[in-house]
Amino acid sequence: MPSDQPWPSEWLRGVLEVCVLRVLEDGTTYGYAIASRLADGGLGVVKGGTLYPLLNRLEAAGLVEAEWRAGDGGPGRKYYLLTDAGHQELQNTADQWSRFTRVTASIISGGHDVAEDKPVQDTSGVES
Amino acid sequence: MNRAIDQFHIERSLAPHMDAAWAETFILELRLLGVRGSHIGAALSEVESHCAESGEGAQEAFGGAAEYARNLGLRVVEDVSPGALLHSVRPIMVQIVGMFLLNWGFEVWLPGRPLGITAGHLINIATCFLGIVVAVRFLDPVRRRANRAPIRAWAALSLFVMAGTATSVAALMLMDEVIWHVPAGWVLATGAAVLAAGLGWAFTMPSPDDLITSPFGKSDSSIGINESGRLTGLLQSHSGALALMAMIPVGTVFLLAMTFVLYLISPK
Repeated sequence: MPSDQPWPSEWLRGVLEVCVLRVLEDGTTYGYAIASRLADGGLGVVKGGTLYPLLNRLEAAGLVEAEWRAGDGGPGRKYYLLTDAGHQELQNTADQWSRFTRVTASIISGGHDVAEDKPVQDTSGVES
Repeated sequence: MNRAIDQFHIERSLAPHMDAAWAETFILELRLLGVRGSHIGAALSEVESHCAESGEGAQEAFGGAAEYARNLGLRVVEDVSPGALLHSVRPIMVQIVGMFLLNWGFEVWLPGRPLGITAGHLINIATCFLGIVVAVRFLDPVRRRANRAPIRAWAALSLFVMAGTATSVAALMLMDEVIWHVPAGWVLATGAAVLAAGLGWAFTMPSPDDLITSPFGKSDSSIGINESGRLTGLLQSHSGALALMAMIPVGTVFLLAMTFVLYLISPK
């Protein structure tokens, strides 16, 4: 595993969207700043080739809005802002993710009863 | 300005701080996908912005340009499928029929003979149509290859054109049995009418003006003109569409002038 990528890419694919939404909850910001925040938070380096397609999908889904601002003596930046729908999505996904991590942590640590943390929706493919 | 800089004029206009070859592949792939010009400009600016902030090269930060362009998932607004392209070149095919008729008619009108239509004449038109269909069908893979291996792509294109020309010439020379005699004046009049009809049809077709523009509103009209060197760009740029419309009539005038000169200098 490369030193700048502490987590398996399969895990990152699952968690990246909620992490990006959470960064945007703190205020309007741009792509490179989001990547830096994620790296500083311990997620590792998120390449532009991964981050911007995700931001595009969020924009297309109406979860974020974007605006261009000219740069001072350099290239301009595209700033992203969380919409009301984005805030709602973040809340839902963050709650789900918390339950999911509690379930997996519980299973991994020795099989405690995790019934109360079972997902409310989308149980297809999960054996009870 | 050297040739390499000229080649990347569009890319350097839009994203002066980044790898122009990477940008060229990126723009080409998005054009081939049918993404709107303003969205292409914005996506390119975002790559440039990220590279400038991170100090990384585009290849390092985004991977392969074509793959990144496809992964971006930008909204496709233009149908650039072979079927749609073929649909858009139908007026050109009509004009080509007019051009053939005018040229054949003029050739026999000068010495005052009727036109003896042969199977070779019909095969000429059929070969030309087949060439257009094949060119449109394989436009995308050829353009992608042209970007990676331009010499091989140009060699393949030259072979393709030569094969078509050889087929046409061979058909005219070998299949010269006259099927039908038509007065030269009728052929000229029909050719002019068909060419005019094709031209009129071309004018009625929509010609979207879709230049690649910067998200900061800086629009360089030369970008659209240069982009017209690529067929999809040509069909999406107003100036390119006008150039396409003028191509067959201008070519016809040139052919008639050549025929006239050859008639004047040939022994009677």
